[in-house]
Amino acid sequence: MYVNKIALFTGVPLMESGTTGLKGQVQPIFPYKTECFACLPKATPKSFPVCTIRSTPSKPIHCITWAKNFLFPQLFGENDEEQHAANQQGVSDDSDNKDEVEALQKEANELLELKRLIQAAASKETNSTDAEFVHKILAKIFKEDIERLLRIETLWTTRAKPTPLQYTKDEYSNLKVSELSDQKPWDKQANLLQFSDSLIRLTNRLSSEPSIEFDKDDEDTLDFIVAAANLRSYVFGIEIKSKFDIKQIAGNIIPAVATTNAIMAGFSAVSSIHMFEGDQAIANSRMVYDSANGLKFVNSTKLDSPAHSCKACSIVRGIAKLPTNLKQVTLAQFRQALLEKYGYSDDIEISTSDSRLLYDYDFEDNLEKPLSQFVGFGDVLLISDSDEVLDHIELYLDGHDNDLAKGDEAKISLPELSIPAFRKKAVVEEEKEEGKQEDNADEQHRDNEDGVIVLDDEEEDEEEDDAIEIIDDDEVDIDKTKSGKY
Amino acid sequence: MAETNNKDTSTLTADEIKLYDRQIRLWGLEAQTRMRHSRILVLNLTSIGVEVVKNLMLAGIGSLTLCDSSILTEEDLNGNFFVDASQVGQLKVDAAFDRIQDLNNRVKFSVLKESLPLGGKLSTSNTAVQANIDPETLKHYQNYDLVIATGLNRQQLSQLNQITRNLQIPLYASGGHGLYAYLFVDLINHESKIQLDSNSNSTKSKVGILNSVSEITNVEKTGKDEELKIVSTLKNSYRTIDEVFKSNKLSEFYKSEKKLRKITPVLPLILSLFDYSASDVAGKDQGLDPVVLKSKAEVIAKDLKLPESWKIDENVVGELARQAFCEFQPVSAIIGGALCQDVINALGQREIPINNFVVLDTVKNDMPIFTL
Ligand SMILES: [Zn+2]
Repeated sequence: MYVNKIALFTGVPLMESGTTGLKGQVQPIFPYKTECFACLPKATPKSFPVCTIRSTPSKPIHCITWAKNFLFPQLFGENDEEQHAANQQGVSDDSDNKDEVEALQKEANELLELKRLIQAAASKETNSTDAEFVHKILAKIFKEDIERLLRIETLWTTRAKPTPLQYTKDEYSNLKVSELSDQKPWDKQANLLQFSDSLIRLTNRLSSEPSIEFDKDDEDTLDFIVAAANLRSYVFGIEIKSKFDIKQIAGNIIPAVATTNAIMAGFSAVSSIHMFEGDQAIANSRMVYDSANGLKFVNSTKLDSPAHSCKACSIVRGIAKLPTNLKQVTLAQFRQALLEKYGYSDDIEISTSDSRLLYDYDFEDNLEKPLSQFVGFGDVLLISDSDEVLDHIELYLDGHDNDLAKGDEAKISLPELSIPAFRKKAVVEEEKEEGKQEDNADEQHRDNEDGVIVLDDEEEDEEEDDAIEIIDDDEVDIDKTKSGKY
Repeated sequence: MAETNNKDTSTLTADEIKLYDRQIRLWGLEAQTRMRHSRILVLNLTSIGVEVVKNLMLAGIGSLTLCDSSILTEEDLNGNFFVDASQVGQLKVDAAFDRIQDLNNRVKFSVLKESLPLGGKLSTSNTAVQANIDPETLKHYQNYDLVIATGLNRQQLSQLNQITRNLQIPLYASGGHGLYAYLFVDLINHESKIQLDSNSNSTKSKVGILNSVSEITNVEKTGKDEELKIVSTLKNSYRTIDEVFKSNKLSEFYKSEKKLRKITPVLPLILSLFDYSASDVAGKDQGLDPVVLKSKAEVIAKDLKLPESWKIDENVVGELARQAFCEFQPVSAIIGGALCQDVINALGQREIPINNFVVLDTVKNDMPIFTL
């Protein structure tokens, strides 16, 4: 998204490409002439109603989400008060069933007690899966809470009833955690053993760590999520999943393979040839994406015009070149330059991308202050016409090139822009919201203006010596997995 | 695969599962296990060969044997990231050996520095009768589960295909011509078990013939209602490269004359280029005579039963004639990636592999799959 916006500021064509498993796409972007990265709708992460997760799960993912996003942070997370408040909120927002809300609130209160049990146990190291607090926790989560839900009969008129977990301590005493397979789903005994074992491991860690967060590569946390999710699945009669599968779901692992990356990198490279074909560049360029059609290995389409509703490219953008010492430019000078260049009336509004107003007709306090007091190079200023004649614009601030002729370095050079007539304000409001998150990406550098920015979600390094491609899930930006065109 | 490998049952180690984690998630443990047991022969380290070798090494196949007897030249450097300028003059496989092995030490990687014999003369008959192949020739190929050839001319490919048919080994062949490339697949007979949507009404959920090259031989349904799972066994049959040149199947898959007329001129043109091998035009910078190329393509178009109304595009003729023997690395990356993806699909037996000829045109970013 950030690079897309920079392409819009600079007007430099952008080659966007990315892969997810066997899927992938390459999209040449000619700023303001063809669809930009933001024009195409993106997949949003799935979410489930709180009540499905807390009271009425019906799929493995519901139990995994419960274990990862509810149970785990409740037991091992940071601030219990905050957690607690957040939970209550979600439930009452979501459920019309008063009994259910009450039951869930009671359940959450009791979880706080469990957390205290764990913290108490953490202070005196224990290695026995037979420890009293382990049994208390098992009984509370998989038995007492379920019994309480069962008493709310309205929940089960159209659904199968859950069965509180029945078990005895000896059931899993002859099993060993080390012998459990990652690939095959564990049976009830194995899940009980792993639940107890990972609970002990995590509890012991709390003596030296203030809190623990779920991380798919942290075996203790993963084991706990797998066992807890599966035990809940038993209770609700849902299919049991293997550790391997749950790791993928809980860890948002996006599979990556060398072949898809090679194919999309290849298309990305050949497609950039068209970018140098002048007048014909757009007509000759084609977007590529994977195909499910037996008559084609990939699909390709001509480039569309920008979407009218696109938040990114419905705003006119450009780069303002300013003296390298921003102290030399006052806001008044900058404002005057805008009026002269674009023919605005007197009545304009200048604000920063985080919505701080610098100037409007009623607010002239800043006029004699230097720009350096408000912004630096790399920042964006928004200019809007209070007379509602011309549309809003965004200017990216940059320093003059070093080789500029003497005498010109004190000037303000504004870009040639054709500003359309005024459009509704709503677009700009949303744009500001977005700007906030993206500004911290400012240190990312901008490519040479004459060149082509090649953006690639995945690392495609032909000479890498690893046998597999690894993308950390922290780096996977869900925004970038396109769904619109498939 | 044509012959099921009985060793497939032995499992991967925990280390291997960890190493190949991301790809196992994509194509499954079974495919990864089959891959670990496959012995693949790659003929010629062309630009596409380089991509194929890289992908197969990274995918984690059992063993890879690379055969190339040529010497590394300056021109090879652009399309081969396994070698560097200091190695010009060495045997290609010697120059590339260490960097290839470094990609994945678990793969048994070896090289053959002399061309393998192709045996016998090109059979001139159009029928697919097995030519008499010298048993000594067959010995060179019999210990592989799959052969991948790049940069062969028609005669060489035809001979190789007779050998692989004789031994019942699947064959993949590919070649690049500037911004254009092709992929040919001969899996002889291949079965895949495909999962269908529970509400699927497609013809694939019933036993029966789908078209002249594929049929559903078995349908298994388990569970019911929302849990219903349908797994169909799809059997694909393939043609040899000699049969491809005489194929009458285009009209089966492109049912109207309008659709046939739209078939890309790259198809017959690229098939015409099978008549040449890279060595035929070595040093000829100008490429081929477009007039000759066009007339060859028109003959092939006729053989393929393209309608009278189908016209060849002069621009494409010119481009292909000019670029006939250039290698362009991004094009190799695409076709080499597609080739290896299909090898994995064929081994995994869950996806339907390509049947049987892909044309890549990166001027139009067009990549049709033809059943010939
Ligand atoms: Zn846009």
